[in-house]
Amino acid sequence: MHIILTATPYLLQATVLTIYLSVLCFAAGLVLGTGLGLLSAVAPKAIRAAIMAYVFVIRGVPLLVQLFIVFFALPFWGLEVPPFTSAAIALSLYTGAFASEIVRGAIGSVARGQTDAAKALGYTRFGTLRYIILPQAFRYMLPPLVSLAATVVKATSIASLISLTELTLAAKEVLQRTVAPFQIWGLSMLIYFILCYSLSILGKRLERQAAVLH
Amino acid sequence: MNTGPGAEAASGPGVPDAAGRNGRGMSYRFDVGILTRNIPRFLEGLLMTLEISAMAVLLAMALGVVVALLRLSHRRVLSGMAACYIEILRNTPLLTQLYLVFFALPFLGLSLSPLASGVVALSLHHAAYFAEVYRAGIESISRRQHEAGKALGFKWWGIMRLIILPQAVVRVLPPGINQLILLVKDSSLIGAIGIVELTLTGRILITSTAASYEVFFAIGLIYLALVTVLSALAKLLERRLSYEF
Repeated sequence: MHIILTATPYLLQATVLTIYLSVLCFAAGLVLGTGLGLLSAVAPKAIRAAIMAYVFVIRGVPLLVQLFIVFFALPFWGLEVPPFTSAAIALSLYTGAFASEIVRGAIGSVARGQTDAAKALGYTRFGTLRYIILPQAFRYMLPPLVSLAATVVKATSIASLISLTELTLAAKEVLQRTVAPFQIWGLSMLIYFILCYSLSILGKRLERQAAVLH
Repeated sequence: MNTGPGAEAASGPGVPDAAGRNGRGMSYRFDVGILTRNIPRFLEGLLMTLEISAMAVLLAMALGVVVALLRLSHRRVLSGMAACYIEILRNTPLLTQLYLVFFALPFLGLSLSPLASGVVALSLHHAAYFAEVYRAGIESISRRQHEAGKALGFKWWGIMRLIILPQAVVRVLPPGINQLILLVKDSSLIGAIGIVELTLTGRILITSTAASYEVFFAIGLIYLALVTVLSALAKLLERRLSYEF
């Protein structure tokens, strides 16, 4: 109990970094993913193929390997990236790929008849997307995006493997000084759980709302 | 262990910095020789990755069935316990679960080898996901089949075994294979407790060769090939099974 009390401030401090990294990467990934998702709805075939290749690579390679590529391999081109920036870059690219799939899927799940109807009403391609498709697609993409956010929070833990002192590495460091593995891992898992479970509850609520609206 | 600007300045060619990076300047070209010379080590790493994944997948799939059936049980206590298991394992990072198994269980007198710890952590984590996959599959079978089975005098287990599960298997296959692929990728984390699988092989190779670019490029490609082969097999299997029904 004593150990938990003394370790809590340190772990919470590291949690701030975990949250900061998660928010940053999720925001960047969201921007990237939305851009790519929209592009794959309207862009010519060559660009769509390039986006598909990007998603294929990101989804096919473990995040840890991607992180190592950014952290260990970018210095090859003379780009020495500190751990935080490496983690931010790798996680944002990762999140972006998954977000683009969600956006693309949501746009695809709006009934085809809507596009035809918009065309018949004289909407341009952009107008159709902006006024007809996206407002409807939005509620399809919200629940999976929220669960992606929880995935990002959990994924930040691997930044500990490139010596970024976020929650997981902080817990590991505490354990080098004290012997209370259950308390410390329990506490850090509890923090992760609170962060991720609240997101997953939010996701479920949004899903229910989307189902009602549908 | 912060790599501030000071730490970076200290790292010359051949001198790893605080994080183990080995700066060798930017004048090097892609050196294929480093890769071809180390093919046996890559293969060893790949073999370990496959071994861990195979063991973990079998365990996770089996444990997942138990958790899913408990989750669907009409007894509140059982389904509540299964729900707790699923939510806890799915809402905390695999890495912390791995550390818990590896560093904390010995204090309960349960000292597992690194390999066993890795397999156990991977299995426990993915069993939660497999359980959800199974549950979705079982719940996708119409409720009426259940009632029809009951009307014909089947017991609960008989309905499950003879009516629901055979149909659910086909629907569970695509998301199940997807989960298998995620597990293979997650096995890269097991290197964190010292199992020399594919990713840790790369980590070790770059400390001795400084060929970080080539090594991780190759490792990325190997994973990509592995995942592609698995999803191709999955598609084949799916087509086979959908013909049968």
